[in-house]
Amino acid sequence: MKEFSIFVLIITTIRMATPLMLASVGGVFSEKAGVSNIGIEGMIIAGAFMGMAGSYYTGNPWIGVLAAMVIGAAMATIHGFVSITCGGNQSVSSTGLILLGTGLSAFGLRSMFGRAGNSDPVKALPTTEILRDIPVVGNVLADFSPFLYIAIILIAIVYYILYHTPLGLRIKTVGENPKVAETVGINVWGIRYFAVITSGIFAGLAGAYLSLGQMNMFQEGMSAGRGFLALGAVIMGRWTPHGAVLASLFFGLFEALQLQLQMMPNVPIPYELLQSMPYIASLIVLATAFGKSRGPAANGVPYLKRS
Amino acid sequence: MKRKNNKELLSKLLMPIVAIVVALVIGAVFIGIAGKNPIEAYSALFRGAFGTPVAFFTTLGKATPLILTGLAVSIAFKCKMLNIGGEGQMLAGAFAAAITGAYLTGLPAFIHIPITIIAGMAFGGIWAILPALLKIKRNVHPVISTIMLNYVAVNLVRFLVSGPFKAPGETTATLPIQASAKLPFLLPAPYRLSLSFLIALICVVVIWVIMNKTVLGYNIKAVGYNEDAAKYAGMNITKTMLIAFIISGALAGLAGSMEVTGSLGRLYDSFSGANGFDGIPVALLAGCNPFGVVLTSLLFSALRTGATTMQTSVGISKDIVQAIQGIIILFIAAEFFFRHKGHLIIKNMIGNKLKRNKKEAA
Repeated sequence: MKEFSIFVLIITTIRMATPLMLASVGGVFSEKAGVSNIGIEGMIIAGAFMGMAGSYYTGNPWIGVLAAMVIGAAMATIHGFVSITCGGNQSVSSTGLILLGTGLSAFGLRSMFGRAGNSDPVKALPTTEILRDIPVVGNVLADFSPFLYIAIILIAIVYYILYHTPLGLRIKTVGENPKVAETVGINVWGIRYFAVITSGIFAGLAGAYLSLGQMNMFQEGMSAGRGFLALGAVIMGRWTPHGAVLASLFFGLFEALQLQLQMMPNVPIPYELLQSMPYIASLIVLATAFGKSRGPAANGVPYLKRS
Repeated sequence: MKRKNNKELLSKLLMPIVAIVVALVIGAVFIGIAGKNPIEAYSALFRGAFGTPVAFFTTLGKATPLILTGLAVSIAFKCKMLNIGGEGQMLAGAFAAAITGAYLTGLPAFIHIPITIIAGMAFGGIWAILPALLKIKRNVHPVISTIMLNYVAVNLVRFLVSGPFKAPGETTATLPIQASAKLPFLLPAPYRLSLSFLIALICVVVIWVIMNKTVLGYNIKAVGYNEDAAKYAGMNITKTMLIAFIISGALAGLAGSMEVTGSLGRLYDSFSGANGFDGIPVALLAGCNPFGVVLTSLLFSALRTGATTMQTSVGISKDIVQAIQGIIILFIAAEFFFRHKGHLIIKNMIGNKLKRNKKEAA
């Protein structure tokens, strides 16, 4: 792989974008209902850990995927309780979750394997063999992780819910104007819990992708800021699922570029600077055209029930 | 009057104490799950933090950057901005101090040390300008922009330290700083308490004065309390936010610079600005009160120092301390509920029941 290949670049872009898509579309869902979930980063790392642990103890990576979804949902429930029921500051609660997720997964790693850094290899889900027999494109499609297909299905469902169902309308009303929503009889807290827990499940899946799809082990710090990149993708995508997917592909492209440039000889840009490319790109985009877009009006604002 | 003050102080202290105790209990459960004795673990933690004079002064020394990053988060948060970028700002400050400390020669200490301090604060402040501007001009959430800049700073410093500014030799680090740039010890070896601790305490007083006795502090609190009201009162919101954020970055930069000049002596590629993130729990637990920050810094520093002993002697991963911090923060975030809403909800429940009873009676 010494030569620059567009084909490899596209494949890697999709691979790198998969966890971002999951996490950012979950983020869109939650923010549409008015709960900003900055704690996604913590849920991703916890999901990555639980995915590994589930596969390690049962030998079945799908149990790991399930465990990752459960931990994401559980952490999102905590976030929901603190920021919806208690009306707490959502950034503060998220910070707590990030510390909790990072701390517990590192603690768990050491308790399980007696060392820091990374876990033993576990059984993973690196390819989707069912698609192998499709003519022409079968090999390419099968080489992608099943997570990609799960992500595509889930994102389609989210899109459908948001734009084609009464539930979607309710979610958007709750995020724009909770008072109106309550007046017309929508259960504001219920909708918000539903949305934030969904985003937690998505973040957990994104984490499981890292430990069971991209690799076959858990590494400390393997979320590497993807939760925050995903939040950037939410903004860049103007709080729409399709926008978030495009933004995720954009970040994925930069990660893929960086990976491919690293492997080529005589690249004049130092490795460390290549590594910061996705972040710089996102800052530039946030600072220019996309930054002015407006999110849901009541995003991040606690709503205290009247009755 | 005095009684009222006492009562207020008590209610202010109650929530943090409850948060700490509950977090420690939850931590104990996890330690239990990992098959270790929590009491044994916590007593090792306490011994490691306060058991000997050396341990005690290590705890003080490790509290120094936490005090500064805690202050940094506090002042920005008073203005309703969460500065998660302490890590990047610390790295920027550490780099500035390492370079000015190593490459400026022939200066007397009383000039060289202030230069490293000012350079560190300036770099930290500059690193904070961009997220502040993004928030003001483009309404980009500072949490996101500061985090992005953290990753940029980590990679950039790693590049500078391993490339253009790498000292010859095996270790990946900048040149050692000149003797004239080294902060003197308040207490010599084996206690090794650096002057940086005293400087941090001075900063506590300065920030307290800024917050409570100056127009700037008044403006910061007004903007944080109610942006619209502050706007109608004719305050310059943009400028206030920008200044608060720059001060925040400068404090984090100072923390980084004194880590280099007060203890490390040079900047290694492995230098971690993690203390920048830790400033968040420190500040929030203290209710963003500068003097409270000293107490919470000592608490977290004790947890951190003691955790190392706990890990080596009982075999409990020191990362549990991070999880405990996270739980404390969740409690602090939920505080509003416990303080203001808990009884409201109960009242509502009783009220609804009364209503229902009335209906049934009718």
